Amino acid sequence: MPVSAEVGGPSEIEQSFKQSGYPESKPVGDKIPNGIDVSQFRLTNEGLQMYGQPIAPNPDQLEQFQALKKTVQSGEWPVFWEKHDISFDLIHRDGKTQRIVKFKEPRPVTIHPDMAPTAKINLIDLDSNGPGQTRQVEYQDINPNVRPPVNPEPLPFQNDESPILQSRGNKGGEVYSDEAENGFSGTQGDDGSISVDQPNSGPDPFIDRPNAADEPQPFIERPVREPQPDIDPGRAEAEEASEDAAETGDTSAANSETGGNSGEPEASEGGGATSDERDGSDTKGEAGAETGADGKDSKGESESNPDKDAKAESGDPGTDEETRKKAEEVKARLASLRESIEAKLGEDKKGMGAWLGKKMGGMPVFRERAGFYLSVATAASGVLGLGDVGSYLKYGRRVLGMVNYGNVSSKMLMGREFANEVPAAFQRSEAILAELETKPEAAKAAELQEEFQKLIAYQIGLHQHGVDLARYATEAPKAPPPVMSFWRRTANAVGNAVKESVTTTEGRKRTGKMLLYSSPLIAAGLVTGGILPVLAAKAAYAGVSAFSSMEAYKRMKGVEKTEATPRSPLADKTAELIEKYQALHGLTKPEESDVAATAKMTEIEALRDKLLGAADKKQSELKWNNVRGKAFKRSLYGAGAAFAFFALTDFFHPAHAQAAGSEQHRSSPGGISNEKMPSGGETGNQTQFANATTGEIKGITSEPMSGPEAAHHMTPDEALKEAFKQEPSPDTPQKFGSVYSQGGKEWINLDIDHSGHVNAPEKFQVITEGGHKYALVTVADVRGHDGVPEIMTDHAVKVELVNTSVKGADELMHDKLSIEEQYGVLVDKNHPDQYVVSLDANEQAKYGPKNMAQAFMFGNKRSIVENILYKDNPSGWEQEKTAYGSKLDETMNRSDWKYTVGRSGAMASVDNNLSPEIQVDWDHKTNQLIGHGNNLDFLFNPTDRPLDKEEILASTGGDKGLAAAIYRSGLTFPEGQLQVEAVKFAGPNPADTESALNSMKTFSHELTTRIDLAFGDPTRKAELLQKIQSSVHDNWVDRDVLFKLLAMPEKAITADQAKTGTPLDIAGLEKYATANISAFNSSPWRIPFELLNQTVKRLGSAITSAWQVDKGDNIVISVILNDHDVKQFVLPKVESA
Amino acid sequence: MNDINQTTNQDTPTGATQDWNSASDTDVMNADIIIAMGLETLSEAEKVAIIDEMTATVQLGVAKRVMDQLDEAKQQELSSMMEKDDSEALNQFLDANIPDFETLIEQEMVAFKRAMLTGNTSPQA
Repeated sequence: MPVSAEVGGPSEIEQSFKQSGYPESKPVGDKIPNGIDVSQFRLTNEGLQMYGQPIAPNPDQLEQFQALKKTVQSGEWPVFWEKHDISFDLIHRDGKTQRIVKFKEPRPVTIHPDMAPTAKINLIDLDSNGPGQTRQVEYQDINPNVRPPVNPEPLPFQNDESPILQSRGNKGGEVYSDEAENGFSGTQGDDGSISVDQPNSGPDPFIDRPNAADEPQPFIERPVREPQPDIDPGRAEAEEASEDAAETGDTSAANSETGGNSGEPEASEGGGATSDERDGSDTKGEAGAETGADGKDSKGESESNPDKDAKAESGDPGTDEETRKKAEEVKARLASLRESIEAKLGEDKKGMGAWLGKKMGGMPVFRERAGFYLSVATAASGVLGLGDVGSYLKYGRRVLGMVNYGNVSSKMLMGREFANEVPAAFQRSEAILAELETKPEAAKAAELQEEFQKLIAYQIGLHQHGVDLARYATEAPKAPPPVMSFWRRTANAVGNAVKESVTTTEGRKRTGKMLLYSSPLIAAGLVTGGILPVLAAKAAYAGVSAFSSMEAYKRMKGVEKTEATPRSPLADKTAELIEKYQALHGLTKPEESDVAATAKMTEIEALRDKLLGAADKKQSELKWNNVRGKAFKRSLYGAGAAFAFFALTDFFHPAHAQAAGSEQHRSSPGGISNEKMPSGGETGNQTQFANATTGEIKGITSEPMSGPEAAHHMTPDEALKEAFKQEPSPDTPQKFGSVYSQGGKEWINLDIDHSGHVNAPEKFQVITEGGHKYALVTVADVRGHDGVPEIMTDHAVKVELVNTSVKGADELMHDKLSIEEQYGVLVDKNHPDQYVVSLDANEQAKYGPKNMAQAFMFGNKRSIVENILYKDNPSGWEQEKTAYGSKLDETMNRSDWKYTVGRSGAMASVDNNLSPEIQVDWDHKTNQLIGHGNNLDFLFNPTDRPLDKEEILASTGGDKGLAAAIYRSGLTFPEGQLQVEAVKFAGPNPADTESALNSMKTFSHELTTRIDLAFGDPTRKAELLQKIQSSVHDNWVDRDVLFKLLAMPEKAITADQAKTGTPLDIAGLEKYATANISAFNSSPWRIPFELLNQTVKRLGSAITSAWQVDKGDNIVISVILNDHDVKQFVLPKVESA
Repeated sequence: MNDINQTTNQDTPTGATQDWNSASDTDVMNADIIIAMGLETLSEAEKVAIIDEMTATVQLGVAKRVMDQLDEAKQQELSSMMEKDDSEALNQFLDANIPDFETLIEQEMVAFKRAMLTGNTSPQA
């Protein structure tokens, strides 16, 4: 039977989508409670898809996706969902309905093949809100030709503990049965899984078909359905023509006269047809033909390939006999090769060889290269990449599937398709611009805005799973800043990565663009950077990644010559479009806007001082440069971001758009400050920024700002004042610890960052559930003091406000936080009813019921690491509360420290200006400690690793309680102990160097001053950049070299500066430390002595002098290493060392 | 019908058949082994399975090459790592003892692909 790849054809909604050229900008179809537009999903033999895209963009879904693919191929129905319990109703051809499965985890479902041809599936979301909230959506696009295998391979998650659904599952437990009514029954396993019984007795296709292997292959070779730009209004007709042609074998129909940009590369009913992705060139629809790898016109091939036409006519479901034979030959050769190698290894070494091979397969160096050559990405294909390309099996330009490795694969897939999509999107936007230029100014601005929003939503939606698309489709019209941010960052990332090409010693040439497009990180960066500004920093990182790929390639292949390549047309086009867009709206150029944004920040800082008052100013300045100040600074940047948003929103208001060009708008930094904002703002506040752009604050903001609606018509100054409004309005009592109403929502002000500024509290939204009030605290508010894992970035701590009574101001100044000792639970910050229960292998959150939610205690933030990340079997909420703090968790991994504190002291050796934005990771392979932040990497001395669990335990004399306290305290990494050895620049050219230096300005006042001084003189600046570049090796520049070039021959805290006070006897340091460890055994002061002791033990041979300075009740001991490195310890004043 | 040993090299613009016995290492390296062996119409699952198997075989081949370069003492050291299944130690071990690991991989890859493409699978380089 001829089979369409998608029986039933596109749904009405999807057809509508195709014809419109854009996704619906308003919710369509049924929606389940969290806003996912399930009507956009289709269940096909490629798996669960949206607009033809497999839905597996997230690392935590990759395994599921892989399993899903295998599941499909093994003939089982793939079913997976995210975060929700799902039930499926199968509707049999006679109309009978059977509830098939209810599960919490993605599981494959085996469905009797006889049900498939006309079955419908209802997806029912069984969210925690209960069945009453469920919706049902019918699916008719079910391929009837999927057949279960005779001996299906075990799925990755198929084991005794994780029973998958079998056709005749017999797990005990609740029986789902409406057999009496519908003739079906199923059985729920103990773990909640459901097995499905067949409705009727008869031959079991899984058991009773011993010769099934000899039967015709049931699977239809179906190409990966590529995202369609849909920029051609004639596309739908072209598709129809193509489909018609597929049925008739008449390819002429597919060569649509519409001049359509391309036909849908769908598998035709003729089967055996594959179609490579399109690159925007004129790919005509074909029937039973294979599109060329470059996506060029394949008509000729179609017409001139009688074999394939014949196959199409015959309905050959896929691979031809000839290919089958070749495959068998290949397998035989493979077996022969393997036997040959094993024979050479000999019996005694065979095992070791297998082990070694397997181990090496997991090594990046091997993986990359093996994947590189095997995956046959060729220069001509333009998709050559090194990093993780081995994860993908490709041919031509088409990604076929994952091989084995790593979750980057899914990103890679996104990246590949994204890269192809962008030019088409640009083409579309070009046309929009041309059209709009013929229209009156006011209409032009409004339409342009709308079109761009649609465009960006479309672009992103094509490459994101349904949640994001639904979100953007509905919210993008309100979100111009992300649009701008996305485009600018895309341009920057692309531009940065295409500036170089290399010719290898073998004569092959690779360009940065090739590597760029193949980089999974650039893909992730580009996409996520466009989705949420809070993640936009990844785009910049992705640019680095592309260069890393280039560097890796150069190292691997050897480079004969390196040359600059012209800026990519893509980047140029982006920049051009942005410029046009800005010109149309009266915006200034980005550079000028950056200046304006900088000036605005200066203004904000001035206002800050004014608001804080003279008495507070000194304290403010002091704190400004420490971690607490940083937190406050972030809030200011957040306010700046809010301000920027307000201004831009104001600008985009249609009424104001009419007046585009006004001075007020020209001076707006809107849409620009996002990039200018330091990373603290990006990570901590862009979420709010993004949320704000959606037109509503999602409810989790710590920023002292009002909703964008309120600020919609504000002038920039008004918005700024609003952002820093100090006097409470009559109906908004803004007292610490009390819940108050504002803007229709409830809020509470707390001093959770311990800044001590009662005038600058953190403001959290309060929600009410079941009569209880909860504050939602984002990561931006809990970070800074000690380590908070990455997982927190997208989550919030939901803490019940059990006592919201107002403490006295004085008491608060000491006690700081009224919820200090309370527990909270980790939730999705945008969905407070989604509780984090654990992390998967990729450290992505898994969600579950509230009673399994992970605990978080504000009094000890480090607990989050233990509770969530490092327990094999995380305990539940009640258990956690009971067990908390009782002992050091024995399950903690030795390497887990990387999440602890590293950053707290990361930049200490630069200027003691702690930079909480620096994340530190330990690279076990290279034994290097590397910090990441501000788009730069920092290489530290490996000896600077913090204390690990064993060392801490040893240092406490076996006192696990104290060890736990130390471990959790974040003091395992003493401030000042990290020494930056080198700084990694984004790229080896003046612009990158300058950019890197500029980003470093946030680290140190002195560094800033030096850079500013150097850059103040153009000649000096050019000279400096040139010298730095010449000092860069593999993008790293030695810190001391850099400081020397910046006229900072010593560190900001120089050894000479530290050599004051009383010189100490080095030999006596250890004894001094040891004695005081005993003396302060029951005191927290034991810790710095421990740190001193550890430093002496570890680095004793490098210590060249030690000095002591009295500081009131304390002393500061400065240990000088190799005459130029400094480590300082603040200690209680006791007997002299 | 193309012979599997003289299949179309996707890098050959004319679509001319490629004699893999005489092809340069670069050509072999750049060849899409799936296309070159005429397997492009296989299902994706089958392609992935074949690539998986190929990868495993190449890994085994590289492992053999590595072991060939190790003296008895080093092989004993390797054996010890295997008993402990110590990946980190293995990484360091390879870094220290196989200085030109990348070249070795590349050579093995060429040898493997050529063997596959030509059908001459008996002797490994």
